[in-house]
Amino acid sequence: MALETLRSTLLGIAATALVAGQVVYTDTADARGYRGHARTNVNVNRNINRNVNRNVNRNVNRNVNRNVNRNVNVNRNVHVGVDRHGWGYHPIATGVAVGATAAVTAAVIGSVVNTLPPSCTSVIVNGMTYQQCGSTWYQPQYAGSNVTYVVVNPPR
Amino acid sequence: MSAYLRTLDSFSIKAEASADAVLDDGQKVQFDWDLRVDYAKGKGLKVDRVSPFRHLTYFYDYKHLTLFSPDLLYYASTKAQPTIAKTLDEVSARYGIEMPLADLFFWGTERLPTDAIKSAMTIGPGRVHGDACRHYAYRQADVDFQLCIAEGDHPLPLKLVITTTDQPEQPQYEVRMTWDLKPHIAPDEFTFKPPRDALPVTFRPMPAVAAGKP
Repeated sequence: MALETLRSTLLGIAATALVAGQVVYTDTADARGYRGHARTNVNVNRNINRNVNRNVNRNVNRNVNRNVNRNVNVNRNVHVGVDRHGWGYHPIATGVAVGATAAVTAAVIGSVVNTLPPSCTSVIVNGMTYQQCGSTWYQPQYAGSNVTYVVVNPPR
Repeated sequence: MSAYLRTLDSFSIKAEASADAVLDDGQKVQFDWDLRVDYAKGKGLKVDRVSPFRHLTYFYDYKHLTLFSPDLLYYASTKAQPTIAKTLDEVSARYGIEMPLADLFFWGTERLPTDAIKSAMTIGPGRVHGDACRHYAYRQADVDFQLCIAEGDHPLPLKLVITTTDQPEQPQYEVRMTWDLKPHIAPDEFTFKPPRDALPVTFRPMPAVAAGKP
């Protein structure tokens, strides 16, 4: 690569970074995950918590009488536990979660996400908070020092 | 430093922390957050962490440990042990909670075996925020760490660096601390009082706990 081309490429990246301020986020949203981080305490016992849950449901119905019906439902939940260790909510994890759940057709009870869909309502039932997002209910909880949301059955 | 830390009746720390994350392809990126610690012996501990993504406050009043996210309004509480070190060990094992700067409450206590440190050496003079300090480097299982301990009558850690050596990329964490040994601490600061719109939630048990294992 000619030096001039290389330089302009670098300048281009830098300019994007300056304008967007979130290059990592956009880059990560569909492609890149996250595999580790620095320990933030010397003397705290450590268990690496990295959970990748994948539920793939595939229903293929075929009628060969000149009508072809094909339904493919892929539910994929990827949860990367990023905050066992005081890391706080992490944009890279968001990228993974959002990117991977884009194809979800129905939330699976027990699956875990890092962010809620838009337009949710906080509801307190028996002293516990739930988020109702359309017909799907989520229970927020602290997973380590991070907040995650578990898909649950309607609480009442 | 450790012995001196244990003699303090109260302190307040303002700190800036930076930590590396490792992307799937091995590229390292660094994130920053601000920390504030308020401590008063016999009254409690409050730790505030503000990252670009989440604001989280830890409250400990010797009876309960509560986590509260001011931006999300979620809070969760659990009964606490009678010491900070025991409480931190318990919530780490049960819920995977790791409080920032927890080391400050382990060093100089019987909880830490002194033979955990495999090697220690003096590097020489150091300087943090314009204050002179003494720079030391240590190795123990899975981590190397460095401290810069203030010169003079108050041998407090001004800087801590932790290098994670059990990952090939060796990501680092670094925190620079400013200490106040005569802090203004409100008497009720350590007991969490939920704001009117706060939302109660639970802690997710660690998998081993959930499965009924110790």
